[in-house]
Amino acid sequence: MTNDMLENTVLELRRGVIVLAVLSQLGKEQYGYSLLKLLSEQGLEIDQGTLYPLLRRLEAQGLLQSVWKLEEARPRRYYVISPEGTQLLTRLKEEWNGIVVMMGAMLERSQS
Amino acid sequence: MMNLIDRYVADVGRRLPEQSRADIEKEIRSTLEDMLEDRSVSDERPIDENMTAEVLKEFGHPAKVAASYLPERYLIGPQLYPHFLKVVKISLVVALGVALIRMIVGIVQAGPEVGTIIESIVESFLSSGGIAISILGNVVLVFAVIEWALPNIKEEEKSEEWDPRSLPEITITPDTDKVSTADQIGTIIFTVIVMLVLNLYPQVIGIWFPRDGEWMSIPVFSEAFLRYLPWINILWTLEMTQALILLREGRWQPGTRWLSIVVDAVGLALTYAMLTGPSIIGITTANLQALGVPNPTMMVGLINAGVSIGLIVSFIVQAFEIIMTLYRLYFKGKKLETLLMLG
Repeated sequence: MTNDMLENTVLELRRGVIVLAVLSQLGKEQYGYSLLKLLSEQGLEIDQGTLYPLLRRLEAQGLLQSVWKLEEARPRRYYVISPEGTQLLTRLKEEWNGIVVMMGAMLERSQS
Repeated sequence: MMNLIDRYVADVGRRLPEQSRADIEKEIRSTLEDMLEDRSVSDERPIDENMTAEVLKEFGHPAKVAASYLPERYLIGPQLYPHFLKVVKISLVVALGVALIRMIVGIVQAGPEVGTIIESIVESFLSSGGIAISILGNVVLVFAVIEWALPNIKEEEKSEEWDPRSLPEITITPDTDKVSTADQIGTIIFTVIVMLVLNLYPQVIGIWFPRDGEWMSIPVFSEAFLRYLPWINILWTLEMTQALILLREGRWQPGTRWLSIVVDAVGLALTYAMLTGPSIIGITTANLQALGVPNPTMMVGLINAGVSIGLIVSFIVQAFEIIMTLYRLYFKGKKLETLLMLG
């Protein structure tokens, strides 16, 4: 197994949780860069080229809302989860918990 | 240093669609300024051009950044691509067949000089290349239009309502690749005999009749036919070679299929030349009159018409055989492969 293979597989695994992670952190409004740092502080490193376009897509889907604010003489776009996004987040959390339980049991069985 | 950010943002912006450009530019600029400020605090040094360049480099190449904001765009998308490939293959194979026939007709018509034959081959190659590119271009154009204009067609394919029972049956076709030994031996013997007679004793083939106690003959084939003889010999030699290879290998292989396409194409070209050239039949009204045949003009007309019909039928059969061989080369093989893989 090469390092590349490991990296790609891990990347693939993490890609699946990005939307859930982003939605979960936007109960309180964040601008792109602050969200990137917030996720990073909690251990989820996301490429900027992935996060910023994703925020726009989620907004276009109605899962996020955004507003430009002028702060420190600089305009920043703040994103926050929409009511529709909140509904989806609840469902996604249930799914996630289900996946964790299911995979945990599966991996344990395969070890024994 | 702001100049670098301006240039960067502008470079990303020019790759974006106009309606979202200003908004994305504004957002990228705001993010870059945040990053710079953050970097300045963590590195404990003021923002300068080097730091700006570092941050921009980290943010990514303008083309990559712009691409991340755009949906995936295709000239021919992954759903249409397999169909596109199939159509390109079929079109190019048909074009190749037609080009081959044209080349052989060209060679036959060019006459026996080596110079004109080479010229004709080069000309055919050049024109086939042009035709292939034009076919490819047209197919791409048609598929690009389908991709752009008919997104609904593609949606249908992933419809949830498909019925697994409508899947095509797997049919095991009879083994068309097996070669009959008797057929090949028959072909070789027959070809050798006819070749020997035609080349060594062409005058034997005729209508023989007794006159004044001596046997006289009217040659069946005209002078024009004898001029085709070198080409007929090439055709028959190819046929015998094919029969010998088939006898040895016992099965049709891609190589022998291609050889049979060449044989049929040579035959097709010869048939075409005979059809359009002077009559290959040497029997004339005067000959028949001398024989005392009633209504000789009509008889000669009937014989020539019969020969023409025969040549036309042979032309159609050979063309059909070429198409069938191409079909076997390109489709039957694939089906067999799939079956073998499944098995």
